[in-house]
Parts: sequence; structure tokens; C-alpha cells
Amino acid sequence: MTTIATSFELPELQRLMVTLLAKELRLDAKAIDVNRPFTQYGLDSIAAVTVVGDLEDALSLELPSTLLWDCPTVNAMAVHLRAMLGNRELALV
Amino acid sequence: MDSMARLPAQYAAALALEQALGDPALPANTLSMRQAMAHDEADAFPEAAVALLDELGMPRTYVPRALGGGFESSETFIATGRVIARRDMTVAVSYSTMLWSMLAWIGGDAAQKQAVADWVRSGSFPCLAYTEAEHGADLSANGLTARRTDDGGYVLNGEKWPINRATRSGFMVLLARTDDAHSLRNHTLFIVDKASLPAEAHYHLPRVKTHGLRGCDISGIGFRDCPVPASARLGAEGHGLELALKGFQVTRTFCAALSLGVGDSAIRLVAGFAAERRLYGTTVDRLPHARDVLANAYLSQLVAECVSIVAARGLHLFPAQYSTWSSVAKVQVTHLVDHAMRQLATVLGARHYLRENHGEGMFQKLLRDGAIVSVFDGSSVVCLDGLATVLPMLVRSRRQGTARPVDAAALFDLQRALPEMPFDRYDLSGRGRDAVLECLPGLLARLDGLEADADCTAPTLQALRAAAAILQAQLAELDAAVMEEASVGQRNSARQFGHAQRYVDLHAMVSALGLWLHNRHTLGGFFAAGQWLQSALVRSSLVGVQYGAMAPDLVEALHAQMDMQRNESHMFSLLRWPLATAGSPESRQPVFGEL
Repeated sequence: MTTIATSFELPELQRLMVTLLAKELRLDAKAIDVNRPFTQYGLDSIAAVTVVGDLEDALSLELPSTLLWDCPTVNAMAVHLRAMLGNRELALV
Repeated sequence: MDSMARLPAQYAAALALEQALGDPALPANTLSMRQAMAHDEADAFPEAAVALLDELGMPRTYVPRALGGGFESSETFIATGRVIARRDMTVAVSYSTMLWSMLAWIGGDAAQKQAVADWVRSGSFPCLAYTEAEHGADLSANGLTARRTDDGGYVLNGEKWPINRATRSGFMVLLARTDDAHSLRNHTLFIVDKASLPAEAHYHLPRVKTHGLRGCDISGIGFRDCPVPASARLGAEGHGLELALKGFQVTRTFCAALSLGVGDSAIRLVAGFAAERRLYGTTVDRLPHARDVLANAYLSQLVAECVSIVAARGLHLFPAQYSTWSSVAKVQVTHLVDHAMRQLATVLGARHYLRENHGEGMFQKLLRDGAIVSVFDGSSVVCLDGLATVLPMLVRSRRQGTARPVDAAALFDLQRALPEMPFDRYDLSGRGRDAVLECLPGLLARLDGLEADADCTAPTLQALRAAAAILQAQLAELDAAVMEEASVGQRNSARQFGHAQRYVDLHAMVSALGLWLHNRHTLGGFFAAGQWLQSALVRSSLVGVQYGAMAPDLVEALHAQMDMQRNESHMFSLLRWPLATAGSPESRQPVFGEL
């Protein structure tokens, strides 16, 4: 049994992160640089955990609440999520 | 009736402490009102009071049983805090830094936990060195640095200010920047024995004058190339902010003890004045406005107690939810007590401004001291901002429903034992869960199934059902408003703050309803009669507390209970909680076991 989440590739994960971040920070998605730390956009500790909540819903995955603390840019998040999803696909084979 | 209801076992320690401290009206007692005022007037640190609490074995109450201490229940902990704060909040706050040892229980390894437990039991006090003059609540922007050295240790540079007990502390819990980047992993937590630091590498900043808490050592500490060993680091490098926020989840919940203690003394002082003072041919407490204010203040105290009891129990049962629950509890308790205090001041009239005369001139001190609780451990504004951010998640989660329903009896029934405090299970996100509000449908069903009995009359039961239906409708209204809110900009709008405020109020009402439904048979009497709950629910359905909103029969019911508790010298509480016997001297026999 595979889930929708396993179909996410790196560019899709980047787009998802940008969308969620833009929503949380009420910014234009175009204004978000994938290599710039979230905190430079004014993301505080609580907003960072709420974005993880949104990500969990979007990916049907349970994630550590401090994930954005450890992966502080869109790119770092996308790479980390891709690896997590990859591991899960392997586990599901 | 009331005389039959016994104080639940988890309150025995608070009862013993209260008796040991003796009658606060007896000036010779160390924790008397007279001494509290004398220290306040002299801006003097309460040395003798702290020493007495040490002798009674108080340090043990901060150390978990597993580490050889006496800490078992958060409900007990808050209750003992109330006993101290009602006498002198300055003493309570001067002692309270002992609580920062908890960062070791949350984030330390086995050796650190044991070392800190030993420090605490030997009577050494920590201070919490987080705040800096330039950065306030913006902790990740702080500037004090800890640079790693070749031997794996660190070197500190910078200052922390203003810090409670910065000077009068044996060790400190220090948040220091270990990474120049602007990130949430740029700070690390350290727990440091100050005696191990080179004398020339650290210094203290002078005490700062404060509006209230005048005897407290509010000062600062600074470091110049000060070495600390690697063993002082708590948790991983970069995880300081996470640990700090988890610690606040617990300590913020415990702040209720301070507000409840101050609130109790304020009501006692003003109700006593109003009962004796004659104006216009009657006593002040017979004047409609004063009577309304007193009843509302007493009701606020009872509701604040409900919030604190349920939150204390939740700390043991639902640790993952405390990123929001701790804020909900502290915002509501301080709001209720602070509002009541300002209203009580109007009943006392000019006397509320005097530093002597009625009640040793204590009221103005209670007002000054109590006003700072809403700023401690994350101010009400910071708490409401955080709540406003997560409100949509809370609403979505409750609407989706959950696989595992909350065990309402475990949470609300005061006879049910609590599991150990799960210090390692606090989390920065509750993922939208709120055990209290999730209980509401079950509580409403339980209310519907009740029949009137000798304790709760048919009209009261009917009124409770009607008020509970309004509560449910108001929660649905709030949920809809939260989900509709579409403001722009990076900050939460004032309207979103308003939603958070409303959420906090409704949460309090469900806490009260849950306690009533699950304890009416064991607590009986006034508690079981339910008029206090009816008053609280009706009042909550209005916007703010309005004069005359409470029906006269409810005002009378609240007055009768308040007067009974005052005349019998009981805590203003939903529980039957006797205070120290009138005229009793203090005792120095340990009540919490030997150090």
C-alpha cells in the first residue's frame, strides 16, 4: 500500500514548502528564496511548529515538531523530506 | 454537607505547611502580614522567611521522588505555592527560582540530574539567566555568547539582566548563543555551579528597583571570557531554545499559585473591611455595588482555581499539549485575579492606597506584587499571540475528531491518582489537541443525564443545562470566526488576539463544568449545589464582567459561602481547606521530611 505522499519529488516538495510558508507568513510565494533561512522572514518558534502541522496534513506523515528548526530553509526541508519519503517507500516495498 | 467533604489527599502537604507557618495575623510569625509589609517598606530580601521554608524541608518539594526528593504532584505543588503567596508573594517569588532546577529533569543526563538534585537538597538556589536588556521575549536574538574551546568546554561573554536572584544564587540555568546565525538552533542551555567559575571572570549587576516584589533580588550577572566545562551543557548544542520553551510550559502553569495566593488575601482583606465598615446606615457589604463586586471577585477566584487544578492534572496526563494549555491557564488565571483585584480596590476606596491602617496596609502591596504574574514566563500578550497562531489548528483538530477519546474522569476526578510527571514528554506542538475542549460533548451528555437531588435543585440543573448549551453554541461561533479570519500581514491581528482571549475563557468554563460533574458526589454541599458554576457560565456568556449581570440569588449564594469561609478561616476555594488556627505560632518542625 502506497500513499499519495510517496509521489512527491524534490521540486514538488519545494513548492509545497513555499506555499505553506507563504500562507503562514502571509507573504507572496514569489518573494521566498529557497536558500534563505525561515527566521529571516520573521518565522518565530510557534509559527515554525504550525507549519510542521500543515506539512503533516499535506503529506499524511507524522513529523518532529521542531523539523523547521533543524532544516532552516525551503531547500533543506525539501531534501530532508525527500529522504524521509524515500526511506518510507523502501520500507513499503 | 460541606462539613463532611474532606480535602483530597494531594492537598495534605499544603495543609501541613499552612499550619506550620502559623497565623499570618500574628505579627511575631515570620510569614505574617506585618513582616511582609516591613520587608516591603524596607526593600529587604526576606532572609528569615526563606530560612524558615528551608528548615521546613521545602527544597525537597522541588526534586522528583525518583531523584530522592518529594515532588510527586503538580496539584500539590500549586497548593503549597498558594499557601506561601497568600502571605507574601515576595517570599514565594524569592523561593520560586528553585523551580528552574526542572530544566535538569527535562533536558539533563543522569549525572546532571543527580548533581542538580543534590544542589537543591543542600539548599542551593538557582537563577534563570535567559533575559537580556536589549532583547526581552525575543530569546533567539540574545547576544551573550558561549564559544567552544579546544578542550570541548565553552567561554562565556555578555550579560543577563534583569534576573531574579542573579546575585543570590548558587547555580544558574543559562541560555547562551552558540551560533551567530539568526536561527532557532542558535542557543544552548547550560547549568552551571557558580562556585566553579573564576572570580575574575564573572560579576553581578546591582539590584534594580521594582514597583512590586520590592524585597526580591532582581539583579543581573555578567561574564568576561568566563570558562565553563562541557559537562555544564544541558542537552545538545543548539537545543537551548527548545528546552527553554519546554521548561516554561511547566513553570507557566505553576504561576497560578502566585495569583491564587494574592487573590485570596485580597478578597479576605476587602470582604473583612466591607463586613465591618458602616456607611449610609448599613455595612458596605450590604451596598449593592460592593456586594456585586465581592461576589464576582469570589467567583473569579473559584474559576481561576478550577483552571489551575485541571491544568495541574493535565501536566501529568497530556504533556504534549502544554505548548498551548500552559498559555491558556496562565492568561485566564491572571486575567481573572487581576480584574478582581482592581474591582476590589474600588470597595476599599481610599484605603486601597494606604501603606498602613486596614490590614497592615497590605492591599496596595498585593496589587503591586500580583500585577507582575501576567508578565512571568511568557507574558499574556506573548501567550495570546502564540495561541492566536495555533487556533486554526486547534479548531481543525477538534472538528476532525480523534481516534482516542480523552479519559475525562482521569483528568477531572480529584480522587483519581495521577501518573508521574513525564518531564521528557513536553513538546513544542500539541498538534491541535486540547483535552479539555475535547471533553465537552461527553460532559454535556453527562449533564443531560443528571437528575435533580438533595444537593442540586431542579431549577439550578435546568439553568446549568441552558447555560451549557449557550457555552457549546459560543464555542461553535468562535470556531467559525477563527476559520473565517483572513487578515494580511505577518503579525496576528487584534481580532485574532480577541479570538484567543475568548478561547481561553471558554476553556475555563469547560474546566469548571468537568470538575463539577466529576466531583459533585465527593465534594458535596456548596460545590455540588452548582450555583457557582451557573454564575460562572452565565457571566462568561457576556462580554466582560458587568455590574448586575449576576442574578441576586446567585450573588447571595456566593456571599454566603465566601462569608462562611472567611469566618471559619478557610481558603477561598471550592475545596474545604482550613487555614492556620487563629493566633497559632509558627513551628519549625520539618513538614516535607529532612533535607
